[in-house]
Amino acid sequence: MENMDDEEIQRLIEQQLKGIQVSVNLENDKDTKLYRLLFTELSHDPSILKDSPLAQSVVHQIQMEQEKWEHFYYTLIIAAVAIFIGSLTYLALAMNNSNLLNIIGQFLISNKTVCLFIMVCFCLIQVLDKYLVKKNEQFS
Amino acid sequence: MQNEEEIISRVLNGDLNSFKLLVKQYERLVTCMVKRVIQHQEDEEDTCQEVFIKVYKNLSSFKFQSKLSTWIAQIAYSTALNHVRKFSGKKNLTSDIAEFENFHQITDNPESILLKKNTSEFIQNEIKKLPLQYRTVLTLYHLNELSYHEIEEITGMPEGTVKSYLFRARKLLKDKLKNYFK
Repeated sequence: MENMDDEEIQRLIEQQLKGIQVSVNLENDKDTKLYRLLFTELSHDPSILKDSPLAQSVVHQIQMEQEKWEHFYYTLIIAAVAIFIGSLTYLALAMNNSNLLNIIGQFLISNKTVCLFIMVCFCLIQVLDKYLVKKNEQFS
Repeated sequence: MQNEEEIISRVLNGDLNSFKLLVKQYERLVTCMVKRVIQHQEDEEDTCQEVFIKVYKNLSSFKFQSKLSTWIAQIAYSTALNHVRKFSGKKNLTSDIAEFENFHQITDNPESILLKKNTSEFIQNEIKKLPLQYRTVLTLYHLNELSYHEIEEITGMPEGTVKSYLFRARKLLKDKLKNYFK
């Protein structure tokens, strides 16, 4: 019975709030007063900030992500161009002077430790640049 | 207010200022939803950002079959729900309701009631204690002023369930208010 009453009160208040004319007078009913107060309180949340920087931070995050992808594509293009040039050079050398190619090959094989060291140093510099230098630049 | 279709097409053409407008337009909808579902202040902002980034990335798949607000609210609801599942480890969130309805009568502690500064704060605190589904329907219906049908679309709950949760949530809160004023 109580459930029915509550259901009816809720329905009538809802109708009133929607501007529908309600024939029943519920003004003096205690539960109705409580429901009215509740409906008013439910329609607002004081803790929701009106001027939050959400839009700005979302756009900033999207821009950062776009820049990251652009940088990735740029690096990819540079790598592709470098490989292409390297391959062309190799072909040209192989066609014109196979001896020179052998000399370069032997030099690289005999100094493989030095070559490997140079490559590791290069990669290390790139990683340090990405994770330390560029990160610090963001905060400065 | 600019036409939604126009704003979307600008965003799809890479205009971030139009997206900023879109975020501002639906910020309240998303914030209310995330805030009420997650209830963890530190994660709220990150989740709201996550929602809008998902909106940005998937905007091209929006085909105007529903209102943009409904579509955004759907993303906000599922993102917030995933966050809750991830951190609470609960797969079946409906079990919350049964647990709550069994114990809500004894959780009323007079000292905590006395601590509440005013009715508004009291109600907001009581809302926080409600099960997730109740909080969700209350937020969507009262704060975001969405229809039962839109709530059904967003949450996937049948319209009858939405109405029932809404009724029970309001009744529980009314009972709490009654005790508060005693």
